[in-house]
Amino acid sequence: MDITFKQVDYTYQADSPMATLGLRDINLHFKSGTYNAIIGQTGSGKSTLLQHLNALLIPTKGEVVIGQQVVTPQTKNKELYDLRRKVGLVFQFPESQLFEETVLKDVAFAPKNFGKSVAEADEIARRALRLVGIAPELEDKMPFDLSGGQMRRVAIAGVLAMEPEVLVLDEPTAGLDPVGREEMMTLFAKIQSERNLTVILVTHQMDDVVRYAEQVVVMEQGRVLKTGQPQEIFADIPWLHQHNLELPSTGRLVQQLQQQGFQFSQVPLTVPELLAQLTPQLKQVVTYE
Amino acid sequence: MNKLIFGRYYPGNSFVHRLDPRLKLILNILFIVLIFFAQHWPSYVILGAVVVVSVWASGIYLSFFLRGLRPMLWLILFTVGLQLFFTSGQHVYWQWGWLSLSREGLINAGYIAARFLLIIFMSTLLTLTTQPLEIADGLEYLISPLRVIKFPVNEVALMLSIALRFVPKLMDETTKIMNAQRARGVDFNNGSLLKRAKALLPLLIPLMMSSIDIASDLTTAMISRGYRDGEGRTRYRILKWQMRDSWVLGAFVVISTGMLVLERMM
Repeated sequence: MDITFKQVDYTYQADSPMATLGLRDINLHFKSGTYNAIIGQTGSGKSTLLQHLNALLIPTKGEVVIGQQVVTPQTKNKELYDLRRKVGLVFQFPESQLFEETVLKDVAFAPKNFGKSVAEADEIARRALRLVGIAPELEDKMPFDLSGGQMRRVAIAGVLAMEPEVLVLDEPTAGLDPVGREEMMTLFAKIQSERNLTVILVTHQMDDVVRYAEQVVVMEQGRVLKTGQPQEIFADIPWLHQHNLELPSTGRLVQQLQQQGFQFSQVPLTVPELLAQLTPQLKQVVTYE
Repeated sequence: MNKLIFGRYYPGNSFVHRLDPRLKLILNILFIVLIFFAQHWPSYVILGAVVVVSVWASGIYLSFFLRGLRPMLWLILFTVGLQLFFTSGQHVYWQWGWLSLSREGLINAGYIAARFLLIIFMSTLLTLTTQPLEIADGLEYLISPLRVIKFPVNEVALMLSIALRFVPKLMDETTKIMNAQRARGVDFNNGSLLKRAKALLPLLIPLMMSSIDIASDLTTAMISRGYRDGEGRTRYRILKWQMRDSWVLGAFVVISTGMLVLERMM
């Protein structure tokens, strides 16, 4: 599903003296089937933006077009039911949404809400659990008896079980160990390509951004600062520093190498790119000596 | 959640904001007591004037108070309705079965509505202009005489301030979990009463779990910093009674005496 933001403003506690602007003048386009990343400091409006993607928040000005559905300030809550099924939202620390007696029931909760029969929902839930790597033995356990990492997986399975067309991820790997993080990100990439999902990822892990995202959105103080491919965004190192954005780890290495006299035509963002530019120069050094 | 104004502090530095929380607490209690002595309309005019002046002095928009009234609206309407139709009186205007509308009923209903409004406005004013921690400090001071009968004043005050401190946190947590469950297709606002009650389960269980987590984290933090019970602890926030507090108290005493005298004469 294509998603378009047209001049969207969002004000918290609108028409009260404590009104604060959450988003201003957002114009964005997420193409169907692409992997997008949103980066920016804490409080830059990323989470507010995310909640517009399945109309948990409705713009105070402008419109959001999600697939066929147009969401404007006048849109009524009842019209949004169908939209919520199509857009799966994984919140920060999603394990806090678990509540059922068993793992399977919890994962089957969303499909049941969206009109599937119990048998169908259980079937979908089992598939979602296998997908995130939860063994069948765990299905009848209490979700609260699982480890933190397992709880996270179950919660994510609970969103995948909606079989959404758009998957929105708000720092899905926060608090996971490096191995768990790697597995989780690989899983999302796999689902994205298999089901041709539109993915929108909010993250502070720049390595994940350069590795997976086709489009990057940089936010600051409720505005979109810049959009573009990772190469464009991470090319300008002083600009990144100025806006307190981190470099991906290859970028940090490149900075140090540049101080040693190595030359790079453009900042390599992934390890293969780095090797491609670095290897010829290393050979030169060797032959020189 | 933002609609729930009761218990939400409105930042400001008005005259009312700067008053001593102890004074504001005492005045609130006295004001409520005073309301129940008011049997005639001139008293309500006086009490109404007190509220109007206090609200004006707080510099907070009236709309804020009106919004705070909304959750109580049904209770008020219900009580007023009861008074209106079930008070028996001499001058009956309209009757249908055991429902009757009399002059006494009208007057009673009016008084009840006025009492509700006055009390809600005054207590909303207290919570809007006083930070929860100030209220807890004020209460601790006011209940401290109970120490004589071995009442654990410090512990109760601590519990109170912790509880107050975590109200906004739990509200945020509620919003967060509600959003997560709404994203999974829960509808909190529509459907039959039973369906809506059932929809609360996916909210309440995670909320309870996270409250327990918060409590146990807080306990660990307090123990690891060597917290012991409050006997003989010095205070970080010290309440200071100012001249203006005495003036306000004086003015209130004068007004309430005046009103009571007026009531006697009628």
